[in-house]
Amino acid sequence: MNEELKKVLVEALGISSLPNDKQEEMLEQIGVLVYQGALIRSMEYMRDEEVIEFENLTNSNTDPERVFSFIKSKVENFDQIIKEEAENFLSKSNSIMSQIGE
Amino acid sequence: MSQIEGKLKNEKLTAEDVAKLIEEGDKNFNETKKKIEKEISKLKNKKINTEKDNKKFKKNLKDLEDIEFKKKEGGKRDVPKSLSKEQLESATPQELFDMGYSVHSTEITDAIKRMLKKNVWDKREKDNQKRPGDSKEIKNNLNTEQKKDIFNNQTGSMKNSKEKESDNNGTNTQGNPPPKKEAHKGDPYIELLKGEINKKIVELNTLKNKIEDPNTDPSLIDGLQAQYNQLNNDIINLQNELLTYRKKNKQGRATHSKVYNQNNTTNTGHSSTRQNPRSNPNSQPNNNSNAGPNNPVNNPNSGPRNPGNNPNSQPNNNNNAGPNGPRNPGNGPTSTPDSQFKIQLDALRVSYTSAYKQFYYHDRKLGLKNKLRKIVGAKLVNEPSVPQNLIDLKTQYEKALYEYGNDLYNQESTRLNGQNLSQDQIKSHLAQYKSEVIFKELIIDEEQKLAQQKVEDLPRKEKSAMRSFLSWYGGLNPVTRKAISIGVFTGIGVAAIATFGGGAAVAGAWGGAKILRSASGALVGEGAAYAIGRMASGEINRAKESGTDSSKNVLGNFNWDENTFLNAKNQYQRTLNQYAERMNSVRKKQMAAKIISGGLTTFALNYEDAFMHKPSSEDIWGNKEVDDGAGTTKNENSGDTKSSDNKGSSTGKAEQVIKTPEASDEIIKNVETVVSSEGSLATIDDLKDKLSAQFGDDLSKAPAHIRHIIETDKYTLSKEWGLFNPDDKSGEESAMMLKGSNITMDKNWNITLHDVGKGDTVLSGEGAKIYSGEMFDSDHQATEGGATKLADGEVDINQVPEGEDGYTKLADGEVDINQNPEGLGSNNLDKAPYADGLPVDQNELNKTVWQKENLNIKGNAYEDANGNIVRLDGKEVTLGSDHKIYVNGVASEYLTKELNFEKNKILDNASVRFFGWSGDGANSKEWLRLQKYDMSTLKNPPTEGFLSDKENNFIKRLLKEAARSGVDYHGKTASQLVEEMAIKKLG
Repeated sequence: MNEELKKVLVEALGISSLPNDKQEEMLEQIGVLVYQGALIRSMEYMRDEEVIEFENLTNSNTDPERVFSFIKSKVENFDQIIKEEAENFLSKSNSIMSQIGE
Repeated sequence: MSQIEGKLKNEKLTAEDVAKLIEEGDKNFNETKKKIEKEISKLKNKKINTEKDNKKFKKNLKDLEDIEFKKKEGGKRDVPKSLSKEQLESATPQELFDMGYSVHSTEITDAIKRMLKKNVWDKREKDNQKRPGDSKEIKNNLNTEQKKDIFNNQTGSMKNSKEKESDNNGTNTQGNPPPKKEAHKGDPYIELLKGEINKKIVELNTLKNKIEDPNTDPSLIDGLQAQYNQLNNDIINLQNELLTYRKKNKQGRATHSKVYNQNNTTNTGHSSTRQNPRSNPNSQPNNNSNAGPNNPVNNPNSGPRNPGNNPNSQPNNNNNAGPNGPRNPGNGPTSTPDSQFKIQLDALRVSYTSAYKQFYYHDRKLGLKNKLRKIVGAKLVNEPSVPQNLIDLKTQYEKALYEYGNDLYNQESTRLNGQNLSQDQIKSHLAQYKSEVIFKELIIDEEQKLAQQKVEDLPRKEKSAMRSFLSWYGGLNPVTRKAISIGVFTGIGVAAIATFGGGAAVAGAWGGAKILRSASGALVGEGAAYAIGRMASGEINRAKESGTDSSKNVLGNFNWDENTFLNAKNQYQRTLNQYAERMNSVRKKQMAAKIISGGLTTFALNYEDAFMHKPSSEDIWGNKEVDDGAGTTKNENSGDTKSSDNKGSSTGKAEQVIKTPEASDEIIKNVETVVSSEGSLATIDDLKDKLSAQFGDDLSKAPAHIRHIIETDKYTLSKEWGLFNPDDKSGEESAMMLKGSNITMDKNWNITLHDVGKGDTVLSGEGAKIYSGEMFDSDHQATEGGATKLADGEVDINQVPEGEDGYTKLADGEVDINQNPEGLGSNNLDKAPYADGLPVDQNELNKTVWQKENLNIKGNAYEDANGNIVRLDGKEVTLGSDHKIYVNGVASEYLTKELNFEKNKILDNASVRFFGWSGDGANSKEWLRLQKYDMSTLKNPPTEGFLSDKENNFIKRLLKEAARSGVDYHGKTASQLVEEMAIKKLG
């Protein structure tokens, strides 16, 4: 895990005081959430057969490279969607948490 | 891309650059400030005030609540009863709610606060006195129907088990008169329905706990989820059946309020459980003890909440509850069984997800259109805008989120204040509580609920695919999963993430960061796709246009006075300072980051920015820099030129818009680069340096294609120009150029390769073409017949020794050079240097030269007419007797083009050196290179340190770190070694 990125992330999320394992656990959960959001949006760009192909791909224990290459080949702006979802998460998290206990 | 970015990329950020960064930051800051001030001014001109906003907001919420009623009854709620101040102060939240007050109203909020205070007081006094301000006084002022409502609500409604208790015992804990039996009491069918509902809710909660239990076998989750959904539907159907039956038999009350409350008798959360019990984790059956005497609404002596199954949780009256055990409301469904805030949150979540679903399905039509258009290759339909009601609901939902969060926070604060703790201890504990418990409850758990709901709302195919994805993701190994997870943030960049900071490191920059974030959010929103991604901009625009409460949410609670601005600016500058300093270290750390990521998935490498992110102005300032010097050329330095069809095409495009003065003779002279014997990469490096020197820090004056050269890594350039094609199937991957070849630049800044004896090729600029000269397989440079491809007297860039004709391939397959030279057998082998581990001392390691007796190379060997081994294509390199690095696959992917030395010089002069090659992420396979050369026999020996010390040391460091960390590097490929190190490091 990129330590610099992780460090900045946990600070941005306000969880830097947590033990390392909890930080990583939360980051992993957040990562999945971002992907979920991005995939929900991305599937709108996929044809039905592509959605099925995607499902088959993930059902066949494929390596991550193939899975994400597939998405990117079908959804041109996948990187942008990921970025937006990640930004939205950070923004929302920051917006809400900054108003707690202040 | 700015010049500073170029310097950042090259790790040459100076103090002056830092100052410039600050200056740019100031400029950006001030521009942003002006924009915001302008918007604020607009808002002011519209004479929007808080009171008005509040009224409007409350009205919206009330409308929302009415919608809930309309769904069931088609009617509208009663207008809240006007109460005197005294009445208001004595009413319970429930009473106020039932009289029509919004759950968001100040009245109910105040009532909850009073209730909490009262609870604390009562805990301290440990008496069971009835709290002051009994609701009787209010009831006396109400009409019969309202009294009836309140009465029934107290015995039922959110105090669900109370209803059962009252029904069974005829009394309640408040000493109120026993409720008049409802008409349906005794109706077996109603009782049956209620029993079934309660039973299923218990099952639902059990299932929920199982699903959320981390110890549950992941393979069972889908099945459990299916059961959960089925139960969920069953409960809804039963509730509807109950409702219909009551209405049909006229046993229910006439008012909408009654139906609303009656429905709540089966669930703790009102609207959420009616629509979707699953969304309300607090749903409890009527016989759930949590809803009994501990209900703070019902019982003034009750604790504020039951911490559920968190062993750390302590009741309020437990003086032993220390600060070390923050209560974890997320660890069970009973954090605040009947908290108004929680109920409000659950209700709004359901409303929000319902509206989202509606929007999504509406949008599906568009999605289908797009799918059809995609099939025929037509232009896609533009993304629709997010409807206002959805934006409003999201705003309200998020408001409810932080209200609930503050509720949790306040309760914890109250609990701690009741203990013998110092203010510092309390403060510290609250900070921890916020980071751990509240963050998980409000952000992660809540997002999971939303995401889960969204997945459930997907059409069948998409839902199935999404589940499959999640299952697949969960099956990945932890290291990969972590790398991928954190990778989602790399697109934003370290610097931009820092601006989101709410944590300690950037807390000081909060004001400034918030301004930037708002601006950034707006910009991001402009390009966002539909659905939630689009909402950020929608909210901001709405806030700007209407000045409603959402502006506070989006723009933050910022005090827009000059002093605050100045403070924020100073804080922001300090952060920028830190950031600029950090950027240098970030660049240095990228190599290490690459080590960690390199062995993982190529996916991670595809997301180059994930681990090798080059900070852009966008990262730094939160917006996209406009290249005013080049107009539309801002993206030309990115991936466009990577396409084989467009190699070099960036130059043509660039010159349509760039007007750069002609290059002077002096510049032209300075840029000339002689083709290096060290290879095309070294040549390109030299060219880049010379070009960069012409512009110093100000690349804005450089034509786009020149900037492209300066800012693009040498690997990418060599591939773009056709000098290197690692994918060539015939294996002839390298351009063959003869000594004397050079690269020059003309007055129009065109870069041309002059290949001796083969003509010129414009590599970059007007008329640029891909190099089409002779290529060769560097691994099999010499031919079996002995013919060399070298011209007499010339040395090609791949360092084949000159003057050797008639090379003969010794043998196919593996040849151990230690068996070949006379007198060099196993007896001559010393113990491998550092056989027990590589030296820790860097200086010692730097001095290390691996002598011939420590070198064992297997591969194809070539000898000259005199029997001298002139070349080895190594496939396995052994350092000493047991330090091995195997090279799997094509040797050229990992090794330099050849390993050259003369047989008769082996004993005296041969040495091997290791060079690291970062490749700037462009070619992950090139990062490890080995080179063997005999310094004495080469006419143009490699210049010492032609690869930087950093790169040289990089490989040494890798081996050293492997030895130090206990990773066995014997028989490992480089990537395997790196991956093992990463796994070990990450545990």
